[in-house]
Amino acid sequence: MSVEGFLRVSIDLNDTHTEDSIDSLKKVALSSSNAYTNGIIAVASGTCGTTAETIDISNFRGADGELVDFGPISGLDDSLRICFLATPAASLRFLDTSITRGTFLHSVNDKPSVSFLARYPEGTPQFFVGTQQQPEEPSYTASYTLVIMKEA
Amino acid sequence: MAISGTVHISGQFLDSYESGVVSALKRSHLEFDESVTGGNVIVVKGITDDSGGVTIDPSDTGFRNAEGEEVSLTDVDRIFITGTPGVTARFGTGAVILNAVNGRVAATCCVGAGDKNVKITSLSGTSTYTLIMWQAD
Repeated sequence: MSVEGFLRVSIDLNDTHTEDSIDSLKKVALSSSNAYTNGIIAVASGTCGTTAETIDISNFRGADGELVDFGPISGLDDSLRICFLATPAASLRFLDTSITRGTFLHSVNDKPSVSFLARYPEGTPQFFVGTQQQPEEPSYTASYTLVIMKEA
Repeated sequence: MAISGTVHISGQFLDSYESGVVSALKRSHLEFDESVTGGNVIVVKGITDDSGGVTIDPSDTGFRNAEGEEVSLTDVDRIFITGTPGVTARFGTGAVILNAVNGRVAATCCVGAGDKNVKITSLSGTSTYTLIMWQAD
């Protein structure tokens, strides 16, 4: 089994202004594109409500039909790439024992959130998803998709 | 002043496996494209550390638009951050936490309730960072 792929994130904005005979353009652009030639990947999708629940990525199978094993993650792991989408809105937590560190992503209307690396106490990675702490009224069911990739 | 542009996020991973005469391919992918029109944008660049970090108030960054006027954001709708060697950005009381390393760009669409300030700290030692925040009309 071998995994290869890419992840791209970019924003490109033009701010224009015209006054008298002067045209002004201020361009704001930021992007990154990274190719990956080896690693493992898992995808999980489902629905969630106000009570935080654990996303189980242990049942995802690779192209060879075998379960994908992310193994233990400890401390600061910069090999993880995390993409999270949800609609109408949900949050994803992947936290260290201190809430001030880790990864905490929101997604609204399937607009993806992308984070690189994660901090976690030793153990198998566990993600928690729920609609709590959303700007909208949280009493609804949201659908979500999590893509997590670990570079070899 | 008029803002227009694009946001793009995409990823694709191909998992391939061969055994004898059988080849298996499993493709995981996502793609998001968005046209952005109107609103206001700010850009903040700097250096931060792994102790106190820096706190940025999007309503008072001193960033000026194409017209030359200072931009003040009261809310944030798209956020992009990158850092080298690596930074953590924690937003408001909603506690959205993004991490970016080695110049890769992390992104999110919202930061939840509470104030919109962002605290940027270096993962180790000092790091450079670039933060873009856009607020819709």
